[in-house]
Amino acid sequence: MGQGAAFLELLDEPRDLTTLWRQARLRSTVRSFEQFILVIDFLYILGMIDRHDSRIARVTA
Amino acid sequence: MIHGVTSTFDSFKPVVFDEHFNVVLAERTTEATRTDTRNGLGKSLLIDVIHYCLGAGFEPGRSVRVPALAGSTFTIDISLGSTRLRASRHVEERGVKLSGDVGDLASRIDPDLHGDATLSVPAWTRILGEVAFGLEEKQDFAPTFRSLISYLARRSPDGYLSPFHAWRSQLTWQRQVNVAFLVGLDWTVASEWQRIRERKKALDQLHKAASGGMLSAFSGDVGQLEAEKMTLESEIHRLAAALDGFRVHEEYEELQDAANVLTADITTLVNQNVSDRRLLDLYRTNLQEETVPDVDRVIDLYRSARAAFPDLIARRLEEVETFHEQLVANRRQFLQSEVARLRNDVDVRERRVQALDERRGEIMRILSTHGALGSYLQMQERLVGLASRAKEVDQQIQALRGFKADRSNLRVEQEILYQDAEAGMSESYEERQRVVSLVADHMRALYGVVAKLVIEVTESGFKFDIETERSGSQGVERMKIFVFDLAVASVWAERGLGPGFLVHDSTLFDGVDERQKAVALELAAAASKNYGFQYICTLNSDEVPRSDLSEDFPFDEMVRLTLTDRTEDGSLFGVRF
Repeated sequence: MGQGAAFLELLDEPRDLTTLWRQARLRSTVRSFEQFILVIDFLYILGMIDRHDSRIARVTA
Repeated sequence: MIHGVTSTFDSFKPVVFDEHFNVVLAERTTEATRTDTRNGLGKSLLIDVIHYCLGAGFEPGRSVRVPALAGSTFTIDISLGSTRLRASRHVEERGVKLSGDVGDLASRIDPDLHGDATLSVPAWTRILGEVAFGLEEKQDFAPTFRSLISYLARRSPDGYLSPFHAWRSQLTWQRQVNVAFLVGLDWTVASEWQRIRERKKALDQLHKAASGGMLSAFSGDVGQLEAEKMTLESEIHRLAAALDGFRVHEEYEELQDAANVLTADITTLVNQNVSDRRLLDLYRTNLQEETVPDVDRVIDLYRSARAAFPDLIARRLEEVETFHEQLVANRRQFLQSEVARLRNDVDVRERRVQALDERRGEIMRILSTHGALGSYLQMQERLVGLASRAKEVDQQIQALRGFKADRSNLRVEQEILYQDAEAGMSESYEERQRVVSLVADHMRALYGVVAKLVIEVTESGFKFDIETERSGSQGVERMKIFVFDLAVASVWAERGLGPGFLVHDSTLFDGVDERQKAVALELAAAASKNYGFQYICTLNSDEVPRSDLSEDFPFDEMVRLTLTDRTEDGSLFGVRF
């Protein structure tokens, strides 16, 4: 859950996966690509992010 | 023999001389005349008058040609050999008038001259030279009548410094030639020495002029120049070959620029490939390393989430599964397409670099076998400069070599001359022995010491000296002159040659002791009688060595003229000026 919150911080604007992955790795938000994907999936499940074109973006209420 | 001297100057005191011993006395009664800076009583002037009649050159205003004597003529009554004549000379007008037994004498130069004759002064001195000394046609560096007579009638004060010097500013060769002649040496040797000296001087001047005219400073010796020449030649050779193979390319500079641009482009492309390759590696690594959670895990996740926060679940499981797959697939796709793109870019760039490099290689080849026109012209100019310098150096070498050869030749000649002179010395031994032994005899009579007239041959000519144990004092040095003159006059008279007279001014006796003065006067009197020549001297009355002269020496009888300051007209010319 905590990782999710940290992850959301990276999404101040829509980002593509490569950038997200790089930033996430840089800030040690996630430990592996697997985890990375799972966190995204998780946030998607909670409806907090969505995909637009090839980018991931926060969902605004 | 000089019989007498007269003048048209009114108050001139004519003087008549005897054939042997003669004195002209100068009486000083007042202290004033002793220190008088004017001509004094005229005893030295008398000697000048004799010289003037015998062709001496005096500058206007000097000696007998002073304004006070303007318009005067002087006449000498003289016997030369068996000829007796009178020679008259005006102080302003040119020429010498001869009268008396002119015929025999003058006909030597001009067969048509008889009775009275007027000659030019040079002609007169030439005749005198022939008759008195047997001199022949005038040559360079030869004795002349005027130079020789200067030894036998020395003028004050310069004639009384050394036996071998007769006048001021006498040159080395003049000294050597004249003394050699008087003493009986081969005087031509001394002439040759002077000729060699002259040639050496000329050679040195030529050398200086030649090297001064060259462009650059004359640099040292032949060795240095040769070395420079060699360096120049090899450089010239190199340049010439380079110029020969030089091909000018009209667009040389443009090609240089093109090559530079190509290099810059290649560098840029290579750098871009370096960074792209790095990225490529990264993506490849990602592709390998990025393992993906399979779908089961996603389902587990969903179920856990639904259990934990059932109110927050916003999507359905299917949606999540779809989302996940797309996510993963997109990622993989992305990576793969990036890899492909990069690989393509890198390849394209590599091919481009290769093409550019080839083109650059072509240009470099052209550049290396050609040159710019500017460079060619520069090389040409330099070659011309080097060639001209080489020529200069060569000329200097030639000049130096020539100079050295001439110098060397001169040295050889000098050496040969030296050897000839030495040989000649032994040949002329007899002749000069007479003079040498008379000098020794007289010095012994005067001072009781051994004296030797030393004649040496050196590399630079004859050297003369009178060596004696007693030297140094002015008196002794003056007596050396006396004995030398007396010996020479005696020997010439003995042979029946020479002018037949010897004249001494009172300066000769300055600083000489009374004893020696007396001996000298008696020696002169005896010699003049024995050998048959005429001796004339001037003396100051208070310097006559009365107490040392022999009792039977008839001094006063031999005084032909007395000049005095007791009366206004007591001087030679009767007036003071």
